[in-house]
Amino acid sequence: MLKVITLNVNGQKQELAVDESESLADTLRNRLGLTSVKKGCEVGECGACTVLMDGKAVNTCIYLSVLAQGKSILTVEGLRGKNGELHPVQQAFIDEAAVQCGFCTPGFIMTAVEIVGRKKKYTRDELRKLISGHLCRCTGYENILNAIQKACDEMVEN
Amino acid sequence: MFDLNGIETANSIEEAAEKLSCNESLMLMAGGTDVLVKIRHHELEGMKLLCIADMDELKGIRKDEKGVIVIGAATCFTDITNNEIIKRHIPALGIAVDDIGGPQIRNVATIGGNLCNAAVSADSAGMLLVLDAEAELVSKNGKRIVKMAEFFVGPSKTVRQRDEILTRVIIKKENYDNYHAHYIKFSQRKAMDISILNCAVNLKLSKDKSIIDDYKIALGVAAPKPFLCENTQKQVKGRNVSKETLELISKSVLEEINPRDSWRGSREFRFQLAKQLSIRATKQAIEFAGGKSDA
Repeated sequence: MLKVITLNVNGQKQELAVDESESLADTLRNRLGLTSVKKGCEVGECGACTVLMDGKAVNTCIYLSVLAQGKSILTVEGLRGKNGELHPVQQAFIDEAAVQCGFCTPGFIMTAVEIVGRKKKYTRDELRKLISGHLCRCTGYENILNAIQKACDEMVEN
Repeated sequence: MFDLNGIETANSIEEAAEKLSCNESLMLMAGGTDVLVKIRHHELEGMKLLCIADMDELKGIRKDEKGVIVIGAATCFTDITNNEIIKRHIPALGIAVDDIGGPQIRNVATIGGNLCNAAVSADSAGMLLVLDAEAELVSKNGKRIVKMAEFFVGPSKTVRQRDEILTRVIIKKENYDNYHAHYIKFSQRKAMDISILNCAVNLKLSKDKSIIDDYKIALGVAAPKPFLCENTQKQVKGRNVSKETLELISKSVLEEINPRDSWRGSREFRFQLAKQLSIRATKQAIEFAGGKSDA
């Protein structure tokens, strides 16, 4: 059965008719064309579908869209600056070559946006734990950690 | 798409209880990180769900004037770990639930859901057992309080009836004040994994730190449900802090467990883990209490 929900996606209010059994990942991809939200494991293990919901990283593959009523969602598409510039986390991923095949990247970036937004310095071990909800099958974790560390440090210094 | 027959929400505990009593096919869901995965795996099909995760009444952590700490069942693990009351009074609980899944799971998964899902490996179960926590169950017909030691019945089974809502987890001051606890989860990976075995210890030392005045130990994945090793507890209470006592603990727990073989680990391996983790968790709790575990 279709239900109408209203939510804020990347700063814009959206009114959508969604199926009750639809995952938020499907809604964001198929109804709003936000294909940065990747479907990997679909059981909340790989983190490829991560978005920020009210500022917190959430796996959208195991989240029912009807329950997102009234929430604020941020995906990679919503990170773009006014003039098309990259978010500091995205720039750090480029600078540190933290992307290989790219499938896990949008998820990692959203988790990193949450981490970096806290404006705190983290140790390597703390960062490892904070990104532990993501899998990268190219095993590029080192560069990803370098990128997030760099973005965190820059955020604290500025 | 999930194989679902619909989803409802409720604005209050009362409304949720009413809905559950009127509709026998309705099943409760909190954060959904277990329920929706089970649906994906076709372990559950065609369910009609009642989601209670977004209910303010069921969220948050409070401490009353008597020192009773009450955790709303729909409080997510991230909020438990970051909570000042938990950090100050029961730090081991916050650290234990920080072992669950990964950050995205802990932002959504709730303590009530973890308990009602009743996995033998449930990471919140051990600490709540050794804290002698109580669960408040509410239905249209009233409410009842169940001790955590009586809450779990078997794998994925609790005393909660289908029309009952786990609303609050209650921890009394006498069970955390002057106690020190430690939880160890043993798994192949440090994140996104399920315990091969887990062990929670909560103890109180005498003023001079030489006697174990009270001792609680719970094991997970060591039997068909998370449980307190009551016989071991009785034996250890009143003993001195010593190597002999630690040895007694590690021997005694082996008589109380009945682990199974699974692809995660063999029965034999779980015996070995119970022996080691019971000592390690006890030693750490003694250290936290200011005692010397190598005495």
